[in-house]
Amino acid sequence: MLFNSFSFLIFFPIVAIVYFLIPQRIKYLWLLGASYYFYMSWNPKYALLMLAVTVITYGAGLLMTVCGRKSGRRGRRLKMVCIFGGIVLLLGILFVFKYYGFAVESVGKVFAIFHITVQMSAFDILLPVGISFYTFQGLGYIIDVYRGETAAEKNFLRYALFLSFFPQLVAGPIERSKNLLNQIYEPHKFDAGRVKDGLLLMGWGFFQKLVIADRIAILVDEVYGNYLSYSGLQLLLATILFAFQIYCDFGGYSDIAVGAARVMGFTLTKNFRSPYCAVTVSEFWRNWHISLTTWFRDYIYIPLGGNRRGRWRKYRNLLLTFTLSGLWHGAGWNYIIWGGLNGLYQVAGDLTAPLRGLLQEKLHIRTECGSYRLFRRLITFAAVDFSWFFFRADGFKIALQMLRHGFQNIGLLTFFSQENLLGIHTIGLSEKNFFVMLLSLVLLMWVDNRKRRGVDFKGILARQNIWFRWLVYYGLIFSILIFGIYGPGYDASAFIYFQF
Amino acid sequence: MNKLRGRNLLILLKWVLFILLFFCIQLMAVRMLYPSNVGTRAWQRFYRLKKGEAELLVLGSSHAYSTFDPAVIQEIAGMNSYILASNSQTVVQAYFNLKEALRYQHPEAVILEASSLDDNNNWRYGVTPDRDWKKEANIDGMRFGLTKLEAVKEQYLQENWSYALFPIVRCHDNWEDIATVGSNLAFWSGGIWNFSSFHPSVTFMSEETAALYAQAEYNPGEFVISETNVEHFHKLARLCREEEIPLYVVMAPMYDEYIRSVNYDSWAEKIMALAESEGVYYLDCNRHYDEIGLEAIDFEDAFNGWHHLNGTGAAKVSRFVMEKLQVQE
Repeated sequence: MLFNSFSFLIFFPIVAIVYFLIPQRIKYLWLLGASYYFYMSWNPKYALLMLAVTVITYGAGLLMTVCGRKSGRRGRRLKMVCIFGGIVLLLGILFVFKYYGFAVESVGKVFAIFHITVQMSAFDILLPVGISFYTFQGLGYIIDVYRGETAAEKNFLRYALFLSFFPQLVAGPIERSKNLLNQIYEPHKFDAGRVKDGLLLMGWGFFQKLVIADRIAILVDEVYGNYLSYSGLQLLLATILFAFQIYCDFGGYSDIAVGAARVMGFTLTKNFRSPYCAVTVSEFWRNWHISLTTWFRDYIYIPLGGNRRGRWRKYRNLLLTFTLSGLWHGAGWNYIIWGGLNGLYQVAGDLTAPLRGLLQEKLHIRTECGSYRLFRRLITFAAVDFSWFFFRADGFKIALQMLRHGFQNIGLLTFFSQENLLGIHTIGLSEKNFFVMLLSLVLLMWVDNRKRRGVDFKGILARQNIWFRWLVYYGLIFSILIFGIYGPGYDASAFIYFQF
Repeated sequence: MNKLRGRNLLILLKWVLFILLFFCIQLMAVRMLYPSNVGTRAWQRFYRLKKGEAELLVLGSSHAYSTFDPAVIQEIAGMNSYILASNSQTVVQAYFNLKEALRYQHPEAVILEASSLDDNNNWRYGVTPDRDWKKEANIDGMRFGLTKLEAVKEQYLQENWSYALFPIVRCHDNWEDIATVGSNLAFWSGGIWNFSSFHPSVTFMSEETAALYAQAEYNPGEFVISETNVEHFHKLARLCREEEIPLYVVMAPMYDEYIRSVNYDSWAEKIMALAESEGVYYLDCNRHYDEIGLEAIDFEDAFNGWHHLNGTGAAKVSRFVMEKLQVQE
């Protein structure tokens, strides 16, 4: 069930209304049932997979608690066996369902270099929606229990809800047990103000997804799908727009998820904080897909040594963490390159910091002014966007072919021709739609910029008169209803991050 | 406690008002963005008729709205008539149209144009896809209520109910089309009162088209009235009986070369048998070419290329039909 489907518009109000009407002691059971129904609407069989992950992590957590009670080395060793077993099982599931085909193909290619044909049977299997998200949430839980940072949950059904909570089930935020599990125990009464806040956030999420992301998707899909028909500058335009598409797609999803949870009284982790306003790549990553970045930081980067064991170890850890993050996103070399590039940017940024400092000093460059910040933002955006190019391309080989084609056919004159500026008549979007897209992007960046400066939109809105508030609410709803890309005749894209 | 209850009640009222206002604005948005078509506008005008203004109600497909001329009907029978017809309207939709219409008007007679029994027009199971505009025209025109819900349930697959019930989903992208918005603005700001449910065709049968009809090979295939159509015809007849409204089934004339190319006898016999089973008078205009004064070779005086009548032909047929029906009464 997609958030941007009619079924969800029926499902969510029913779940929320019933949730507030039933007694506290069975609220979590209702949410658990609703979450499994939500997940099973894709493919009922995959609920078994989620159940398996639930049983493994729940069991591992309890076993570690039991082992932890035993003193001495034996207890520690048993605990180690539990965590190791849990991690192997979870990564095994992830490998089979997500990476097996890629591994078979890659091994085959390596052997083919030496003219050796390897026959490995690859089975055709559909990637279960959200598998990377709930597997990582489960992994985080057992590691937290192992470290003693959280107590193992004893109630299986409550734990099952922690792993399957429908707003964040298929595309995050990847929640920590310390945050979400505790909230499942807390009473959540109906609070009109909170419900309103949640709905407003959901509305903003839908706006980002349906008005911006899916509108950009028409152009990007056309250009990336038929890149030979387009010039280098048009490819560049599509790549720039893809950066906003993926942001609005995933950021929109996260806002709907956080908003839906807030309606029911839950506070989920904020996943995005104006990432394209960042002035460095590392700052970008502190504000992009925050729940995943912090997951990798806490469970991969820091255990590897983080930045505590010297400069070169830090660089190695950074590269390794970001390459793994790329692999998490998808089983393909283009994702690995994307992750690796982002790691490399940070290493390069760190290495060149003294040189840049020296240049600033010698050239008397003012670093405390807006123009310098804007310059750094643009550079950061360009670097990040270049990595998105590999992310979006249908494979690493095609990305290289696209790059070659783009440089060989820059198309400067046609791009800036008076009759067909930007080649707008051929890139899949009408002029009016292009204008709506640009206007929405300006609005998005303005909102992001204001938020970054600490402007509290909700607070400001709450202080306004009712007619103005309602004007804003209706404006948001009807801009989604009228300018949104949905309904028959449109191929409203599924959320990009669902495939991970 | 009372203060808290009062506050909650106020919040509830605000939410209800917000939702009501939302539906009103949504309705206005649809009215501006909806592509204009005969079926929807026929409904919109119908809802503005004064009580008793539809003394004769005509239901059916495009043959209905291009055949029955209210001015001639008024002249011959002295009745105000309204044609609640739309492109490819089936007897299924015609039944729901009548059911909805009876909530607002109580006509003295109902005419069902017989082409609506054609199985090709079976929307749910026939060749017309679920999201065809002809099908949506009636549903979108009807006011929200039980009849509309029933009509949707009967004619749409479940996965398309949302599209059927919320036209904004289908027409929202018309914001790009200024002509649609302009046409709707003109309609709603006064044009609605000039809307006529009768749409005489102004085109004529060309000699080239007539030659094509003449060359068509004879198709001996039997005409079929589907079970759904039979069932809804009975429902329609029963509804008329319950309301004590006489029902007539009239087959509008079609271009005679076309009729010669199909197994028209099987068509006419089945419709006649169905009408007789309900004790309903059936008038087949195709059997009365001479009496009506239709001459297929007289291109400017009878048909257009889609074997509908043109305006002149419609006047002749309306006169003939009303005279025949008056005799029946």
